Amino acid sequence: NAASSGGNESVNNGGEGTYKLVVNNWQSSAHHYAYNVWDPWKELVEEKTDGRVTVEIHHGGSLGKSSSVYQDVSGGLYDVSLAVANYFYDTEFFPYTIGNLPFAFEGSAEAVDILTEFGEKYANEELEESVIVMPPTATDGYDLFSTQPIKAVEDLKGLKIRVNGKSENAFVKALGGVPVSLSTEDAYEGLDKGMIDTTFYTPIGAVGTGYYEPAPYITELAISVTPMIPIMNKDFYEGLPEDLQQMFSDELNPALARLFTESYETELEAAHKELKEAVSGRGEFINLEDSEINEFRELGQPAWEVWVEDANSKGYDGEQMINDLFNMLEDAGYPVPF
Amino acid sequence: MIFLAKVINTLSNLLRSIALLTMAFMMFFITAAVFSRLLFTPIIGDVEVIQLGMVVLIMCGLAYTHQVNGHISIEFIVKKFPNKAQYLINILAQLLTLIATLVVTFIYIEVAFNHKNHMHLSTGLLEIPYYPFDFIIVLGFLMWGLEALLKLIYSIMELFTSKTIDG
Amino acid sequence: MPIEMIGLLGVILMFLLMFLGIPIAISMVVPALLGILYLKDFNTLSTAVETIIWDHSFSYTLSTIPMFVLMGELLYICGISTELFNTFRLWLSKLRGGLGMATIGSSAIFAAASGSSLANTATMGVIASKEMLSAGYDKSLTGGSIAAGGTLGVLIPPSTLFIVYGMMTEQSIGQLLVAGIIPGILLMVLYMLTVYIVVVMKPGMAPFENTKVTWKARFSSLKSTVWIILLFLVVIGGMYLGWFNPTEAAGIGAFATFTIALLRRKLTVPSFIHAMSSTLKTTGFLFAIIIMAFILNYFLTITRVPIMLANFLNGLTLPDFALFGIIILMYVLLGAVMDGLAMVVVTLPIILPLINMMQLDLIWFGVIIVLVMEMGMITPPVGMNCFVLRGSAPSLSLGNIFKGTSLFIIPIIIVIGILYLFPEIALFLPENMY
Ligand code: NA
Ligand code: NA
Repeated sequence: NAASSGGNESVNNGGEGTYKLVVNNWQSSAHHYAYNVWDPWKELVEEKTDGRVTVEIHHGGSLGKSSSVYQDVSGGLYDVSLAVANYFYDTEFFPYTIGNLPFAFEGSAEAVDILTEFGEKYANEELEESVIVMPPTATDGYDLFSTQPIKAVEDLKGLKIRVNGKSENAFVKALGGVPVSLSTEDAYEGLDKGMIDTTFYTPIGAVGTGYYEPAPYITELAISVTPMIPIMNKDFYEGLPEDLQQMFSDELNPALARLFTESYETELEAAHKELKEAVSGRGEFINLEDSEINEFRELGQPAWEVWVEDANSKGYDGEQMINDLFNMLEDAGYPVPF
Repeated sequence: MIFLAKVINTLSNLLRSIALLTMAFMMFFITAAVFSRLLFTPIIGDVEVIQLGMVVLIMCGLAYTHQVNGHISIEFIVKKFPNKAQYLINILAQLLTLIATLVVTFIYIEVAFNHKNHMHLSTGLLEIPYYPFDFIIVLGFLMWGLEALLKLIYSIMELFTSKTIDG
Repeated sequence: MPIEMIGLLGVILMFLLMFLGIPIAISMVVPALLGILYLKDFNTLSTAVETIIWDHSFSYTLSTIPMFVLMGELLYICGISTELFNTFRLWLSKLRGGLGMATIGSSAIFAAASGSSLANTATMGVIASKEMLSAGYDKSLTGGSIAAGGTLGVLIPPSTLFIVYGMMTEQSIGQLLVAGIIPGILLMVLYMLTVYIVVVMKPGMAPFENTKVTWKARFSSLKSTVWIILLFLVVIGGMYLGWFNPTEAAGIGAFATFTIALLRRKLTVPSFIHAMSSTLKTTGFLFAIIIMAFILNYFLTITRVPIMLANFLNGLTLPDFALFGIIILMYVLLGAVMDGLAMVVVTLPIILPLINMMQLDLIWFGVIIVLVMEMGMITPPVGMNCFVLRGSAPSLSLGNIFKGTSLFIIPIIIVIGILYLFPEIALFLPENMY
């Protein structure tokens, strides 16, 4: 058997001719990743490979945090996990962070469509030197969670808005808000005590963190999504016999990305429903007219400019990348950001 | 030997001074950030500054903590052992500390150069690169190890002195 | 050899090294390094070391630890924590064991300004140990009262543990914090009662102070606490008014104390350096342990030892209260040997499905978890509060402290029992707040 070669690998594997795949789910076991994605994927992998590959899932980030997935997977701390592109802005993941920009994509499914092609073109070759890149996925679109109603761009003037990264900072300034850097852990307290007035957040995530409690005014904007890329340890993949490698590449890896995207789509519907109920009587769930949304879109532009500068300083052709993205969006019949 | 001790102590004291300055800086900086947010405008990236301050504070404190025997251990069993056994265990403690810290030092040298030359990680808002702080981690663990080396040498010397007294 | 066996061997080696008196941090990391090397390779080991060290030092939330410790050290320089303690002492002078109760009372008040039980213990440790010992209190009762009083720091809000738990279980952090208030006060009262009962049963442990205290003295002692009230108003009030977050509150608290020390002309360059040096020492050993504990955790997780435990529990078909009892017992045992935070990070994901299955309220369970972690902080061999106290009160040995804290395990168990029977005690405030 060609697969059972080195001494260390035999420990890593489940037994003669079988392979153990270790998954790090950095979300809790109660999170929709667990029941909608990782558990079904485990079943699928074990069924399709006839039990030759067994999947061991560790929940709650017990094998590592989301902030170090790239290093951890390439270093072999575990075999598979989900990399949030924006956490690795300074690495080969950078091209994927175009998806974080304001109004790049309206939702998860659209992001996946376009980012797959975009990533193939700009990122995967370099990433494949250290990890196996699976097809990308993305979160639901971020809405505005606010302590007072936001019905137009003017309503944001002078409000303290939480920012986490550079392009967000540029966007908030363009919107006329005052950027406040605050960790995710402190966001709830921050909203509750008025340290910030507003934060962008995913509706699905906000159901869990309860941001609607201190910030019951939710403006549905789908401002941006967060691209995420499932990745696999290279040694694990290369240690598999060819037929299994083929099966992962053709079937199992795309299935994982699909499970993530489907989970976001179904959970989003439930989340919006839940949020509407949660704020009724205490706040408001606000839908904007297209003309108002377009005002927000226009103001997203400075964030794109900051990104282009970064791309150029990293040796990419930022303008070209944005042109490519817009072309891909148009070809697929999606709206362009601005 | 005296020269070695001098070099190690000078370096440890330098790290300690850096740690104390960082600690004082963090106290004033957090206050300034709060007042600035309340009275003027929020300081962008204050969270990152504090995070990096923590790296410096922790790493520059490790060696000092070892120097003053501050790394906590469970002594109540060992205290009942005969003197010579206690010396031997102390030698083992210093040796294990030396080995463990040198392993970490070695690993982090590679990390630092990787972050300097290839994976250019930096903070999200202020874009402060990680690698200088990686080198501080290297220095912190190295000095912790060297403090252990110094104590290892002293323990071995004490063991010999105690032998001559006993013998 | 089955992989779980390797994990168990690692745990045994850790204990062996610890009991030989090897520093705790080193005792944890040596088996972890060997185990990861044996099961994986050097590449994996270096990645684990790289990301774990960075993640647990490049931390905003954990910056509360050095800042609150510094606040405590500066309070000590001001003589303020001494005055707080003295006020309690005068008011409780008629009671047997009044000094011990004063320690617990002032710890509870301090807890309302501190998110960490370690900072709490460190601060009260310096003053209370001196006062209690010089009044002739037994060393173990002294150590026990301070270390146990310190645990109130994470039950009475603000509390870093509730924040971590809330993040992991996706529960409302605001509700969790509020849920800790009534159980925190209940535990404080039971701690005081414990001191009282101990002293009544063994009068030798605490000589009765026969000093006559006038009501005038009592009320004038309140006058000297004006600084503390001011400090607490700034720190707690500022937090509740939203001037700053709990993380910043630590830095503000340190700065405010620094200012008070200046105003009272107690602050000198050498005393400031001394306060910071003590803080540095505490920070150094705590973070060494936190970092090494997480490296050990990675090793234990890949050996599946935690999963083995959960499967075993799931396999027993027991009534709910027995299962709950077993979960608590498991946490008590794990808490004896692990850092509380590390323990929860590893086990919570495993225990959570079980808790959901039993249809227990997750806010309520958060309070239970914090109580169990408090127990872990004062039980040997790994009891963080006891280590901190040992660091700030050199005249107490770890043996003294652990002997004393063993008494205070009983009130914690009683509070857990009361909360099991009457969950409303924890849930009343959060349910009526939103
Ligand atoms: Na507290
Ligand atoms: Na313990």
